[in-house]
Amino acid sequence: MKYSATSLLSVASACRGPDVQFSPTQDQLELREAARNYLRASCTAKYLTRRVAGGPEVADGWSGLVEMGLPGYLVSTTAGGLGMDAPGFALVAEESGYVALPEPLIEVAGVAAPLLDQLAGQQALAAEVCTGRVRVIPAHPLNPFFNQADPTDPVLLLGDEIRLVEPLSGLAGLDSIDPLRNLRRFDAIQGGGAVLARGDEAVALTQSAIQRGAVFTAAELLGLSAAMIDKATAYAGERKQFGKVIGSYQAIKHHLANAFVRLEFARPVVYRAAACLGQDAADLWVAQAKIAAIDTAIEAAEIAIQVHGAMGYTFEVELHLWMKRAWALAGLWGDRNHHLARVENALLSKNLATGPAATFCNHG
Amino acid sequence: MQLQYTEQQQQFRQSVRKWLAAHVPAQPLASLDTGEGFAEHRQWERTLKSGNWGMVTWPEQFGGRGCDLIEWLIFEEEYYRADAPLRVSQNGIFLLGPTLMEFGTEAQKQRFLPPMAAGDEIWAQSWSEPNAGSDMAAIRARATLVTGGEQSYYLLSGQKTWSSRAVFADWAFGLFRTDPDSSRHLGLSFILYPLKAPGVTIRPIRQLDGEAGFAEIFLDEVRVPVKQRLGAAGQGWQIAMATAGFERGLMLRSPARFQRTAQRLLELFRANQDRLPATARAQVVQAYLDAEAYCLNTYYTASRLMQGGKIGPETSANKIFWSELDRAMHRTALSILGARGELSGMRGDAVDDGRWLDGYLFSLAGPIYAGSNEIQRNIIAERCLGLPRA
Repeated sequence: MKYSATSLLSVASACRGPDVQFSPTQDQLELREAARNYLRASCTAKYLTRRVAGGPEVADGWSGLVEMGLPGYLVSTTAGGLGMDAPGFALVAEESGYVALPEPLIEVAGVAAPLLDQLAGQQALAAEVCTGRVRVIPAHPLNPFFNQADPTDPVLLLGDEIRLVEPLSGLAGLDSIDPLRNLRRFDAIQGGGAVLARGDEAVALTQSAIQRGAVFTAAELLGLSAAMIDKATAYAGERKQFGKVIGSYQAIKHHLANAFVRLEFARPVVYRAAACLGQDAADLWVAQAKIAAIDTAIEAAEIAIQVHGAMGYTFEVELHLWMKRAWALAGLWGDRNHHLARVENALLSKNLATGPAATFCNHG
Repeated sequence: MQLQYTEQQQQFRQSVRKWLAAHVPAQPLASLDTGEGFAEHRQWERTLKSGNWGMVTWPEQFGGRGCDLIEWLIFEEEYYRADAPLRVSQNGIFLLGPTLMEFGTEAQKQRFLPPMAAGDEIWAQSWSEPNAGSDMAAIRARATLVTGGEQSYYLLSGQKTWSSRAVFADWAFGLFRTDPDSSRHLGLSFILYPLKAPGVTIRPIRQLDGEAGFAEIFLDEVRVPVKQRLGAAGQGWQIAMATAGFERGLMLRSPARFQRTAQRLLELFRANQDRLPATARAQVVQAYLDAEAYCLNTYYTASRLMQGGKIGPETSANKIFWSELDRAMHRTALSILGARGELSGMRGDAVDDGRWLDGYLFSLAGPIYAGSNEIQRNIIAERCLGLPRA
């Protein structure tokens, strides 16, 4: 299902003044809708189970994303991308979390591709990411392991020197609790490769890449949370005990309501971070987003397994794949303690403006 | 999705800030649950009105400023930033006012809105009854119609309770059974009545802090003209649900209130930092995170409503979140104060005039009033998630 990017761009480029507006734009909504329909139809629980089992009959999951233009969502149109912005991609990341998409979409499209697009001389490579010819996986010491879906994917090494390291076929894999992640050890990456940026430029690009990684992973965790709440709600609506569906009992209702409340109050925190990347307080707001998303997902997982009862503790229902992904993503691009330390430093050391009227950057 | 104030919004903020700096009383007012404090707070409502800052969200034709929700949030941020007094007119301005504008006749709006706005008539709510608390549809207080053409009136009889502000307020609104053969949600009407009318007896109830913040109201054939019924006879439940929607929704507890508390908590932590363990720090940071989350959620909902969305059952999540946040923040403050937390403000030795203890007491009411949090969780499970009713 090819999504027509050109029809959207005329709308996207319309100039807008400042506003306090959380609602997505029309084109952000349309792309989310398209992504949702595609992902929910193609990346079903059955498909995931087949992926886990492996074997040659499993369809390639990346080419469909390429056809929709998703790897180039944040890449400029001159490099063949959709030229969309971070808040819109956060919505797509949520959808990818909802289906527990086993593809490195956040890493490639959210982190690596826009960085390449911003680097002088690398637009051609960004364009190749958009066409799906190449898939560049970012790696940074913040992530001791990274998800290299395929050993032929080149690795973009972030830091005070940004390098493109050719395929790491020799690296031994690591076992993740999430059977759909192919982990490699960061410290096994050898020297070499082409230097793409150095010094201040590399540091600035790396910092914003990390922020994107954290905020889009947070969005993915929101999607995982929503899916786990939906699965548990559906189960509670079917499973009967004492002659009634268990979802009619308040003990079950209140568990699920608690998960719902947490999700409702995490989502806008993630959206603010996505909408304010690049602003002075972005680092603090990204940290808040990741913390909120982690807490939401961990609680949603615990509530979902509790509502499923013993079934949730088995491979008989697919809930475990969502829980395991949530646990894995909780530590990616900065774990809870990493981000909490950033919030604490900002609040307690730097005497940051807090309180009413400090919610957005230009409160005056 | 973009999050930057417009120039106009920034100017609006500056004008609110300037006016409040010049008008907010230097000394805190006495508790509004005392006679003296009630009078002081009524005077403050008049001061607000004099600057046209009393009902910023009301349309201009009713004496408001016609502010949109973002401007309302900015106003509230500045209001709490300035530590301005509590709003004794809250029941009127945020609950009955919007309800009247939606369901009232032209004559009712003209009669009730201007004195409400001026602080001349302060409103109490009277929903609950001794046997109708969480189960509000069990209301038994009745309004018996006595027909006489233009002169038709109702006789109100029964007992209302937990009626906030009723000890000192001028008027009350509540639900009454106008159809004696009806049960549950049907046959109820929304009626406005003066608390000084013959047949009304008020029994103050001392709250946890010792003040008479609410009261029982005994009604013995209180005569009320039919024109004081809001909406049609039997439409009361529907109107009350709309009012409750405003209450649980955006307007009852603006985020600035909790952001200000989180900010004060941070100051309290800083002042005691040397002797506190890391767990206290974590609780203070969590308070900041949650107050921000509440604020962002409110802006998010405001955006949705301004795009034509409707306020729905998800506002129950709001009520759960702010009430439990408020309780957690005050509990943290008291644990930081340790032994000093016991001192109440009466004798002048308490930290911050006993504000944290007062606040903690009040926060314990939050998960109970405006529909207990258990009821809110049922609403979320049934109407947001679609689980079956028990």
